[in-house]
Amino acid sequence: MSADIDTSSMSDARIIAAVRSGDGRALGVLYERFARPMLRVAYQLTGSVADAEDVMHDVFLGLPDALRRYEERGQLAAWLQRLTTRTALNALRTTARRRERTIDGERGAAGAMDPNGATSTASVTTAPAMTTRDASAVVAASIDLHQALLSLPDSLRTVFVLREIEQYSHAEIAQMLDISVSASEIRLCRAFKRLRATSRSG
Amino acid sequence: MEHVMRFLRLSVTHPSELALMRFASNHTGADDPTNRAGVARHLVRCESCREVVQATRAIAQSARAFDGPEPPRALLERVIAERSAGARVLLPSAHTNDFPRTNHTRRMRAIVAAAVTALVVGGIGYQRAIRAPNAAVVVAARGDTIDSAPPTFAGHAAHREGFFTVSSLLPTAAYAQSPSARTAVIALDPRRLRAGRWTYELQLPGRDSGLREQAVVEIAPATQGGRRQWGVYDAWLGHPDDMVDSVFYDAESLQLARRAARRVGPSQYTISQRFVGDSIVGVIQATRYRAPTAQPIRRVLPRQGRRYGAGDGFLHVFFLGAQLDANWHAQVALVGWGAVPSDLVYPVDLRVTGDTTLTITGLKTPAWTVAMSSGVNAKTVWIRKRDGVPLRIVGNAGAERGWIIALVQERTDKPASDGAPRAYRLDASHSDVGFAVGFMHGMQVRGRFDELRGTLLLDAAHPDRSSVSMVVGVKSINTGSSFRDQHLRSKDFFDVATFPRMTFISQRIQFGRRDTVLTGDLSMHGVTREVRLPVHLRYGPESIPQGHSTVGFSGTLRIARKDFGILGGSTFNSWFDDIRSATLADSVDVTLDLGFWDADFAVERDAVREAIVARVRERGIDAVLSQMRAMPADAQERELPEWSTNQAARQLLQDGRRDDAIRLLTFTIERFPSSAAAHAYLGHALETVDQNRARAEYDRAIALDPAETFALEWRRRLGR
Repeated sequence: MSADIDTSSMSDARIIAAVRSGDGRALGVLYERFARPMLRVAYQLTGSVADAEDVMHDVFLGLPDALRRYEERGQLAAWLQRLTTRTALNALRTTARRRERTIDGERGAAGAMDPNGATSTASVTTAPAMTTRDASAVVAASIDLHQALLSLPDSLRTVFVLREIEQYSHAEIAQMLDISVSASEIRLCRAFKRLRATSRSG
Repeated sequence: MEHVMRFLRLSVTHPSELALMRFASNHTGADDPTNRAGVARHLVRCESCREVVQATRAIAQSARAFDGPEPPRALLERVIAERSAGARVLLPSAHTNDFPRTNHTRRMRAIVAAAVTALVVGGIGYQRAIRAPNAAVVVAARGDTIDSAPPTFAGHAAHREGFFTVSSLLPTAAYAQSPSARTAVIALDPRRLRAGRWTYELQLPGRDSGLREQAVVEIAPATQGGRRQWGVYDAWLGHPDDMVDSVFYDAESLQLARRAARRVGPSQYTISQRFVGDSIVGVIQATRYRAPTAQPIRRVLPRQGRRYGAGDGFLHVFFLGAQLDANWHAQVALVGWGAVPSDLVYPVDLRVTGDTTLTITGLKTPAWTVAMSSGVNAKTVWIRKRDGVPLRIVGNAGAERGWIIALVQERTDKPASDGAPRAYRLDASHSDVGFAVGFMHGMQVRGRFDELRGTLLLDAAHPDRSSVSMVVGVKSINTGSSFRDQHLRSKDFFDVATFPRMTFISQRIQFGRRDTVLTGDLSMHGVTREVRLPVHLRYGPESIPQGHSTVGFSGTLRIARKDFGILGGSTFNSWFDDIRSATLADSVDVTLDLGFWDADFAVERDAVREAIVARVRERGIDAVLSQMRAMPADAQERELPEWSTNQAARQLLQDGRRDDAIRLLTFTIERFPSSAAAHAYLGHALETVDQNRARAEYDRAIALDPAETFALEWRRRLGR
């Protein structure tokens, strides 16, 4: 692997080979290309920027080893997204357990409503509301909805994110969350109901 | 016409929110149970449902446009720096067909020292990560893989704070080294093995004090292919993750023949194994997360010339089949499930180390102390000398320390004493006799009788010769309205003053495969009629660990009250006039829930009874009676309750000490001349001595208390 190869134009296959061999720059290319949707799903599943960044940290730290198990039979982006989803769900379970023991202010109501307030442990953060978009009324409503989503209980939010954003089937969600297919559908229905209530009252 | 339309419109039911969501999502396939056309027709008319669908679609659309936070560059730099410093993290698998690994997990976010990682990774399908505050906490980790799809992992890790099992997707004998394992070994001597059933109780004082778990072990003859076998069944009682384990041994050689285990609960699996020559073949079928898998087992047993045992919790079988003495020593091996290569043989060394007397729940029992060891695990077991039943186990490993197995039930395969019927008393606090009768236009009056007495003579040898008597105190009628109850007690209805009791005396009991029919005389309000009462055996007869044998029936019966002269009048209550009286239905539905019990003296705890029986055995009845007579009256009253002395007499009678029982009961009658129960028990004790005296005692008991059904039943039987 010579140093003068332009990593930005490398194919997925070559990047994978480079990352497997422990190339830090190749890992950077993966980060550039795929981190944004990965961080988004981690954030939406855990409901906290700090937790999402912890998930990303673990995913990228483990990626060179995990890629050895990656068989090039599907889209790399989809595989990474699934990997992040599963890691985030695991993290969510452990934080849920942790929250049972200690009252954790980080993911309390205020933290969920204001992602910026929840980043004391993260090094760099940009809240979703700060993206470069016109602050039109439509976008403002969308942000309200996003915050309403993040403040849903874990059980409802995970199903909503997996189904409506990540487009998993109910059968896959049922398997990932160890619930029944109909429970997945009912949770989705309840999530919609709460979000409708938010958008009406807002 | 218009109001009909309005009625129809009002009666329209809205589609469920689920149906509206399905409609809104458009992700419907052929299997969609929603009637789309029906929902669409409804939406045309219903504005509120239309709004729900529109709002749902708008939310779904916005959700797909949600943006996340900007990935911080510093995060990547931190990752690269940590990686070059040797930090590693193990991630869950992301292949779509893999099991999701949700349970048995410990902390996921982890930096594990590279050396530890190498032990765990090894190309296995499931990988687990442990983030410790410092890497030194993780002392050791070991993994085993099962080399087939889907990949599974079984193993354990040692943690500074004690053992824990990292993950075990399929059960293996790796459990044998986890704190919850029970040591498993087998019988050594086929001649000493006997059929029986034992209930035992595990206490875990070190971990969850007060937690008691109950288990049952049963040994029963079985056959396979014409070969006689012993089947050994082992199950936890009422455990959420119930496991039923059956192992079959050849009856002559005690070689392992086959094994079947089944686990119910959230994760289910079924194991069937056969032991053929030097091999184990079989299959583990598991259903986890609703995905069925089958895992073949094909393993060769190591040739070490050992006897092999299988399964958990077969300690009882082992010691029942071994003749212990002070120098006894043996080696056996526990055979695991053969699911992983190392999961086969755990050698167990056994040695008698002591001869002691153990006191459990106040009873002193001579016992052998046996040391058991398997690797670093060591346990001490106390074995009752009389029959080889393990009474107590104390282990050394982690949370295992301080196990106590208390045997809560003797073997129950011994026949009831000389085939005589066993008398069960009606347990009024767990029985219910209720009735319901129609009144006016569709109303119902429900009520119950609170005062119930009864005796069931259950003849195990000749079930059809069983019999039952029940007596109901009519004045205990309770319909939830005291005024109505007074009316019902009056001459208008039951006339309690003249007819205080309602009785049912069985004439025949026919036991069917499902239902039992009691035919007998029902007496009420001075009228006796034959009724046929089909009942359903709800439980028993069985011994429960608290020291009772119980049997329960339920049934329903419809009777015509007017057949019994219960006509209803308005003497007591003028509101209940002829017209209202006429609306009171003639047929009355009676529901019966009857629980009967009898004490198991070997298990039931009663300090007074046990003390009396023990002293009669030690010093003889004369010494005991003269000691009792010497007690002041108030001390007698306080320390010799009639119930306990009567029960002591019954136990003495059961033990074959008939004359002692008669002497004790005679003394009790001196103290309580009007005790119907004491006369009834005395009559029963006298039956084999002098039937006429027995009859006289029964008659005396019935005269003192017409509801003394114990005397009624035995008197009836004696008369036959």
